[in-house]
Amino acid sequence: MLEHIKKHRYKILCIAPLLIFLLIFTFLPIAQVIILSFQPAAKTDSVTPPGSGDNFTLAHYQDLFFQKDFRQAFFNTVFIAFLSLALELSLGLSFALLLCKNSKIIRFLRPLFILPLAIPTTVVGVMMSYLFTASGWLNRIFLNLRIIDSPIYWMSGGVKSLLMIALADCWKVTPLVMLILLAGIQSIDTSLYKAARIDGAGSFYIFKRITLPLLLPSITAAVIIRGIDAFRIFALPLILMGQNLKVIGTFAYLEYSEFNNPYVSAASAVLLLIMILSAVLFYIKVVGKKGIVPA
Amino acid sequence: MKKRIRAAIFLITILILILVFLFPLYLVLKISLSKPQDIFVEKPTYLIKNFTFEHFKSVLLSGETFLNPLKKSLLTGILASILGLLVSIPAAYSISKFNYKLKYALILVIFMTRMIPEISIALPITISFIKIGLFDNILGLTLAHLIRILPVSCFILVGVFSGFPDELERQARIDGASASKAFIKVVLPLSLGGITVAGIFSFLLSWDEFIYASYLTLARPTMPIKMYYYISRGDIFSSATYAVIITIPVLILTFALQKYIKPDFLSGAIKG
Amino acid sequence: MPTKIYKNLKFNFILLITFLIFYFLGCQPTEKTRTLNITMSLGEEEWRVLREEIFPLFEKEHEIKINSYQIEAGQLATKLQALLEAGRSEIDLFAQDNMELSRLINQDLVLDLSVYQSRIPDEVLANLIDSCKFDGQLMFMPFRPNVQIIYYNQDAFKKYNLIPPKTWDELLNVAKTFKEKEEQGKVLLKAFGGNPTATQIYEFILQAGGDPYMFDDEGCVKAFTFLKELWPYVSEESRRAKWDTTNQILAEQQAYLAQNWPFGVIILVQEYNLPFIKTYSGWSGPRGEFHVIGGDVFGIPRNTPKKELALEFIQFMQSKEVQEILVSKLGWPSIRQDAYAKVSGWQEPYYQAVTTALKKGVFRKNVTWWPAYVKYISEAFREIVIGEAQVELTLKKYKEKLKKDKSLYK
Repeated sequence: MLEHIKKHRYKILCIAPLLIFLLIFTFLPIAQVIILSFQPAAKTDSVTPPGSGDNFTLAHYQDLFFQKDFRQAFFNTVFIAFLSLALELSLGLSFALLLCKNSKIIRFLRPLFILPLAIPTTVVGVMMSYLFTASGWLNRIFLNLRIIDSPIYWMSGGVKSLLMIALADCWKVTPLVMLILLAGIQSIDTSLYKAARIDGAGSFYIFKRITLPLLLPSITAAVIIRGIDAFRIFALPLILMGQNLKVIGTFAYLEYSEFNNPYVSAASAVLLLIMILSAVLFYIKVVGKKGIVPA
Repeated sequence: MKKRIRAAIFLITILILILVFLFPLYLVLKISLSKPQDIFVEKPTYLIKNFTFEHFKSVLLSGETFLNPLKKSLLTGILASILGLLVSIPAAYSISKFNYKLKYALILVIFMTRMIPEISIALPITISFIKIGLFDNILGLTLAHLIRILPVSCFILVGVFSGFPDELERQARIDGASASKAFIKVVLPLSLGGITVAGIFSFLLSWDEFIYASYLTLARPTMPIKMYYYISRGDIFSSATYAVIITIPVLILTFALQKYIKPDFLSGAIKG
Repeated sequence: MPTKIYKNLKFNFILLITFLIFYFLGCQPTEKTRTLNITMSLGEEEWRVLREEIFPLFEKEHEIKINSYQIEAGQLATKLQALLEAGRSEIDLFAQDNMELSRLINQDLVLDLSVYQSRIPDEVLANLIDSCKFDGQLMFMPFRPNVQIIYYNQDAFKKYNLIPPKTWDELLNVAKTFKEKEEQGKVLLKAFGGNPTATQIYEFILQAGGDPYMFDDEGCVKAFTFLKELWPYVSEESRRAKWDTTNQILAEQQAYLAQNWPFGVIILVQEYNLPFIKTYSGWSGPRGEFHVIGGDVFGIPRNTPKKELALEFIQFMQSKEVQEILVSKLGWPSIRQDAYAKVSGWQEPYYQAVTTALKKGVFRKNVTWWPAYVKYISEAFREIVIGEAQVELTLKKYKEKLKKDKSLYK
């Protein structure tokens, strides 16, 4: 073991600042939150069942499972995250395929697609509220194009509102997915395409059998980077729907700041952490080596 | 001839996509350039009816109340990207030398820091920062931003250095250079593109950050905070103008550094 | 090997030095002059008047410098808590929305000011002082009372020969007329949730003779039944209507009648120059006209070292001289009975609406569980009024929920 460290001590020194910083400023606070979620509430109340250990209790987690609010927030989070990911991947892939040539015009137009990434989330929230209100632009355009004949009430809760938030989130982030997939596409050896064409394969076949499998590592990268953030969504639901549509992020925030319950807030944050971690690990397991290392 | 038509259709498709995709941005731009009476009708027009620069004038000429947040956001962003690069470049380079299993594991550990809602750890971190005297100054905010930036910057740079052909390095070592010399003279110059991408992403993450900015500032807010001030007062013209102004530096950055942004760098730790 | 380590150590050392340089650059130099750090949440014009005309008077008299900062009402408690737990004092005094006080009490962030009650000038209205008390203890000091007024679109009302409603029946009638003539509702209710919705319902319940905190007494039931009846005729924008979006909705003429705080006057009339926006005090329900009094109060953070100075500043702000400036320049109604001042020209009719509404003003009883109340009354609203659930049963359900949650608060 010690020879290992000696051999790599140069590298370890290089990584040290990063790890120390993250240790102090992220792992420690996270540990604090985890510990808080297991501590009994500061004063006697109906939350702590009698007879539980002095410094450890699962009462807050039990509390969460019984709260309809939290279950709803959990569902909303998962729904929005999956929907948003699906949208980002399909849109990102389409854009990447369209923009993968390196002609001058394409290179000029590409930064325009990157713009949404640059917009602060608060601004995105405001922009989306211009689009999605009952008299907003989306309804106006749809009405003008006769796609619908009466305005859709995006903000009235339910699937429509979930869709709205997923759309708003994916709008800002699609450029990132596009860039990751673009990298993947550009690294595919073009001779593979040529060979397939010579053998008489059509575009769709090439896409399905060559492009997609070779893109799996990039897709994995995109899924991991974006997936983690998609579950943590916070600002957009708060701005667009306030307390009417909770996700775990906003639930944790409101429990702490409004409803005077830091323990439940911590517990919900920990649950989110566990959820994301297991999702990521599960995905990696399913995708396997194929999906991570390029062929 | 057929090729020309195909190219034209292609171009038109892309242009339509841009129009649709960037429509929300256009809306904000429109508000910042329109007169109030054109916005406050039941069905505002699609195009800008009466151009006016009054909103921009009033914001840009408002003196300190505009310049201070701008200064603070810019300085914090630049400092965050520089510090972020200084820390993540050596770290990423070292990580990229490990075998892929260890590499992936390390990256995942670093990313674990992003798996908890920001808002849950923001308060404990703020308290620690205040205790060591980092309240309401640029360094404190920069460090807080680094919490978000370092994992992403690391990820990009690991990809950059992983994709760097080993032969060049090995050649330099054979020619007698030490490891760090080889790094500085050979790897760094050729990876400048990827490093630029990491730097731009770092700047972006700092530029639009809101939560830590609101926790850690008092007298000196940043641009997003200032803009939120106008939003919460329902002043849509000032907030739209600020929104446009916030977007501009990023646009400039992206266009100017276009040639460096080869998307390769975002494939991350994937390349073997 | 050693050179490699040495080189790397050198690099890390340089990193550390750079860090330390910036650290010391970042630390504030100690101020030579005495200062007082104040935070408030105000509009730009309000800040201008305070900073240019009021603060200098205090600064000169006491030979200190006032540092004033803007903090949004929702972010003050977090900052105070962070500073308190870190053991630092950066804020000596704050003005806070009187609907955002419970967190300050629940997390024990403010000084108990009961012993200083005698310092409040006699001319300050008694019910204002009561509104600063929690559980009988004076935790805050009066600063400015505020009340919502009704904004209406003069042109639209004239077009359909309507007058601004003064009773619930008239309100229903106006809503029905607009819906009929324009095929969409033009009366705005604030249905987004949170404080805007809760305050609105609170008023309706009071106007029906109920006790809002009872949740399901006769008055509450009557109020909810009426709102349920009114809902089909209101503007669809109501779902996103809260205090900041209401101004926009009025400006874009998505609604012709809406209730909001007077700050909308500055934005709609002065800034946007919309000639059709008029105001009046509001309507009365079956048991009378009641409006919830909001506004700002002063508080002192628990760990401030400048308590005496802060108290003197509060007294200064409550003086006749300052209150008269606030009335004349900002159209703020005064906390003193003896502040007579002329409101400047164009603000006059709007100021009239505010003072009339204030005459029928009622303070909410201060409870530490106000956020829980807000949450459940908003949910009850959405379930009953929008979701058309049964009134009594649903109210009873939320009453039980609220009872359970009360134990979480002080």
